[in-house]
Amino acid sequence: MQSFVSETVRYPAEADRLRADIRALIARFSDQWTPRERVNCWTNFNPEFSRALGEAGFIGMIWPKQYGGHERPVLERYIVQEELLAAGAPIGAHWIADRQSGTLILRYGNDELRNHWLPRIVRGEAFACIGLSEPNAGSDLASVRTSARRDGDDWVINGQKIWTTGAHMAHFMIALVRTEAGSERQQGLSQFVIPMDAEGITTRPITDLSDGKDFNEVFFDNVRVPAHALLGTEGNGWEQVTAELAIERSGPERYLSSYPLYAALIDEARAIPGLKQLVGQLTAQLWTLRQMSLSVIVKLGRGEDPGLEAAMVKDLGNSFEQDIPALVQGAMDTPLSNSRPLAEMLSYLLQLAPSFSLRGGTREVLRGIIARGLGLR
Amino acid sequence: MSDHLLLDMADKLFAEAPDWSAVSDLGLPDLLVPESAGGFGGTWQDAHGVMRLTGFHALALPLAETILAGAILQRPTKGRIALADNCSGAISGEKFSGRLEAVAGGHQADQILAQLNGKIILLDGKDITSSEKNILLGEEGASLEFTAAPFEEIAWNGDLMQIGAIMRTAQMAGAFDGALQLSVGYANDREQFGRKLGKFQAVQQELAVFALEAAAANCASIAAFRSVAEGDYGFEAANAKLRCNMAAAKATRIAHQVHGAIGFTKEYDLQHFTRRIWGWRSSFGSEAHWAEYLGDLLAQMGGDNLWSYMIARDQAASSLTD
Repeated sequence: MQSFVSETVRYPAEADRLRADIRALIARFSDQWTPRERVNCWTNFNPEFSRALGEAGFIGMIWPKQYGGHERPVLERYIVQEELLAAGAPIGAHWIADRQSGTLILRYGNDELRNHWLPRIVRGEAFACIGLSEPNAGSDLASVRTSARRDGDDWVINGQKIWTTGAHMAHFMIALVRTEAGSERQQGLSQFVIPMDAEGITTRPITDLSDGKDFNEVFFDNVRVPAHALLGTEGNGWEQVTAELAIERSGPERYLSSYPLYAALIDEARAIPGLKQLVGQLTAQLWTLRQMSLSVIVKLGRGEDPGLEAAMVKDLGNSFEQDIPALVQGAMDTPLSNSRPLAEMLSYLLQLAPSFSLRGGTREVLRGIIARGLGLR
Repeated sequence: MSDHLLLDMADKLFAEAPDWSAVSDLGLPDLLVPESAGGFGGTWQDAHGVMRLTGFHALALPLAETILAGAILQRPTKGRIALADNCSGAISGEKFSGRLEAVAGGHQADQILAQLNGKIILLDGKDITSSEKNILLGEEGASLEFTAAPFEEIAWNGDLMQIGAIMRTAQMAGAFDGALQLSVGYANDREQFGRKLGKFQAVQQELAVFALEAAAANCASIAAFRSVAEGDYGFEAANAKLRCNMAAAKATRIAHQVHGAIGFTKEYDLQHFTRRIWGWRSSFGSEAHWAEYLGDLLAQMGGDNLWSYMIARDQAASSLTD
């Protein structure tokens, strides 16, 4: 038995220049980002910065040129992603579209969907939201009830999605809905690309415990979309969404959400030697997670489906980024005021951290996947 | 010989609990001795694979240690060589007097390699004046004393603590996977309350945590071995050994919990893995040791510089791989 087969990364020759380019772009904007904005930065909306990234060729990096993409290797995209995350850059606006929605459209979409959405995503002008969870379909995603029914050449969608990050600012949603009346569980599901300005969509914010207004309820009341809005094959939604989740779980954002707080802790360790043990332990975890994450990317780059490895990296990564604020709070005697960057980031992260092991698949769901991979059940 | 053939061969051999002559006949002890010097001429990647398998099969021979000693000596080894990570004493008149604590394989070593005040010294097993079996390692570890013993000074400019730590990560990674395989097999076999243990979600979730820790240890270990060719591997040794050590307590706790009472017996195989893991966790640097090392390094460097430092080192190690 081998619990994890590690792949050797071969950095492209352009890696150094690429890092220099993205670091230079970050440096042009980073003065404007507050400490609080730097943590969990991949949910932080900043359309201006997304457009700047698009202009510089850092969105849709691996997509075909035909759709405005740049046909760069997967590893180059990874380099850009990890540099942005480590710097705490506000990449939330385009993140979902670049990571998964555009990828799905490229993989399963018809020409109309590809030609319409992909160039806009690449320019940093079209943002996406994820239409999976419903009030009675959380971890149990196969319980979705939102429906689409044929009406002439169109489809008519009714139902509700919830916990939809960025729905109020997104231009489109890829939604998992039931297209076969009376179907159960994984059967009869399909995906649709739904413009968020379609008639009949109501978006209502849900305020989270930190006063954030990132996520929403989205209601569909006889929302009419044309036939070409069907993504991929009718009835193939479950298979497509499984691939989507593997993509969603495989990136470096799953362990770097608290990185800026950890970097601030390192500076404290100069004056407080007692923090060195914690700094060392966090470094060993970070360094290891990066190696694991790269290994997943190498497999993705070869066209393999590292769903199990991605689940492992996400679970370990989420625990790491979730533990950091609690450990820093325990190790330091600092008032939770806004007077210094570390305290500001800590105060914010303590509230956000519970979501890290919920979003994108709960810890328990991931461990179920891992247990199956071990040959249990 | 391809990696694949070498590891297949080692895997089959170690599964049969071979004696020293069987592993010697295949040339494994001299895996890292250059071919030009009469050795096997393997790579550090090969060494990682073989050392990991010594852990995976809980091999009761100081093979990983001897392989590493061969890399330091750069000449064919003569018999079993143990490595000491805790050496106290003094050199006087070209003789060593002192004590080596908790040396894995120490009782059966033909030679022992130790580092004293930056010097690498090779001692002969027949000069041991007294040997005390360790409680934890039992037959497989001992503290050794020498009185005015002759030694050979070895010219080598590495750090035994760092390279020894990297060796231990491979053994620990293998032992985690060995214990995990045993635990999963047991959970799929043993029935209670009318169901296999592996059907219980509580057991599944615990074994998933075990697998996560084993996976992290394996990934950390191979990455550290990749850095060895670069010649400057303190940062990687520290990270990898620390991460493997951090996995040790969780992994062994779960392995024993899943097994219940049978895993606590001498007869059952689990203890071969878990006792070694506990021993290796303290060998060539505990968490405290390596966390302090990293904490010092990073505090000096500053939080803004860690990222580019880590990336630059990784890219350098990657360019040397092949």
